[in-house]
Amino acid sequence: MPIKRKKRFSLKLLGIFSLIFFLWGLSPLYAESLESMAVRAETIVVSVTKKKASYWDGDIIRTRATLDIKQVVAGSLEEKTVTVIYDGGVVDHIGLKVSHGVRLPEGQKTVLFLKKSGDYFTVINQRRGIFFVLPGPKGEIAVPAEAVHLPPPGLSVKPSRIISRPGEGVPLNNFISTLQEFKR
Amino acid sequence: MKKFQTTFLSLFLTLIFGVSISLAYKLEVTENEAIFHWPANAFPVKYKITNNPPLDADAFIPAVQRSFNTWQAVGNATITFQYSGTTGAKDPAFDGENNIIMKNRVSGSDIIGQTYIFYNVDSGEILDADIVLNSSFNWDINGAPNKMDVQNAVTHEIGHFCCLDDLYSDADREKTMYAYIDYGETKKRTLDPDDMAGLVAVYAPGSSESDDSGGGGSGCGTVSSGHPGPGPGDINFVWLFLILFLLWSHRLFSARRESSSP
Repeated sequence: MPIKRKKRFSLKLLGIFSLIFFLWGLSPLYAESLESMAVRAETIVVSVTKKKASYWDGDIIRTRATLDIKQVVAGSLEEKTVTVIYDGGVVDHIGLKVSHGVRLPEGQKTVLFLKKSGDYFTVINQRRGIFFVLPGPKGEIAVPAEAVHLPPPGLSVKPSRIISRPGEGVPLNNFISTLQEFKR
Repeated sequence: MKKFQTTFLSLFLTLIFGVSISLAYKLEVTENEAIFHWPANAFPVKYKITNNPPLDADAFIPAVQRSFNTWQAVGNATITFQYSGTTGAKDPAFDGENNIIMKNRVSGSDIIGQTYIFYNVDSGEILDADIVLNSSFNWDINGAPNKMDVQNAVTHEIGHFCCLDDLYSDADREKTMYAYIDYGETKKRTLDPDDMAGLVAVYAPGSSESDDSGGGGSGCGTVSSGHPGPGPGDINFVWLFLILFLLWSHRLFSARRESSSP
């Protein structure tokens, strides 16, 4: 086969693969947009999870997490510390795991989309309303909690044990600016 | 030509790398790193379905049953299920009953379904599990556009109910345990080989879970929450590209040799 034909064949092959991967990436999925979440959130904060305590609330285990507020990205919030309550946790030797549920490891810095519920807050869309703040090559980046592999929740979280997928992070400052833009 | 070759090689390596990020399956683990599992003495795992379904019970209940049957039909997995009637339960609870219920979530929430699993932290033994579907969505059993398909969503949730965790990588989109669901989607009704491999890893005949000898995890394969690995499907992709690349290189060099020979 002459080289020209060979080249044409290779180009066709390349074209077919590119098309397959392009179409693969087009498939739509149901997930609330960042903008919609930002609009729905009463408060968006950058916080660090200070401590957590799980307890039985009737027939269910819930966790009360105390957060130190580092920055109020949007909405009004005067408190320096807030409480977030979510389903799941461990009491004695019984645990409750909720799929797609909230994950707030102690000591972890996060961006949270919050909604007030009485004297505490809940996280909008649970895990999808949480972005981990992790060290990036040029400063801090915000990574969706879903994209972060955490060690089992009982173990202490060290940066080296948190693995995020490459390409998932957004520089924290850009992320905050975008959210503030959405809230305007 | 050399430039073209370099471009092709770069693209090839990118694809290989991209595909390699995909996980085979991910098992739910406890704080003590024990893998979630139903003990064999719980088989068949009994479940009840809400008496207040979002559509005709004659359509809703069989759709949920088909989802359980899909997982039960996985060859080499010992787990079995049994439908044991309807329930009036409104909330997930640690009550010894495994219920599939409807619950209204805040409007605008994108949570379609959730599974609540109560477990023993030391052994990973599942003690109780409830599946909650969001009644604020429109539900259907025929994959109608703009509605959520019951069997599609419940099959995904049963993956959690058994032991599997969500997958979020784009490369896992075709798997039942991929975390996102679209309106009218039905592809999660059927299991991907990796979904089945995850189930078999925990419930293979002779595994510690199937034998109910306690201590989850020892018979559960090599994939755990913290250290997931590539699955058979991903390896196939890598090999496919490798073979195509080798074929292309071989043909190119043969053609070059032909053209340079007198």
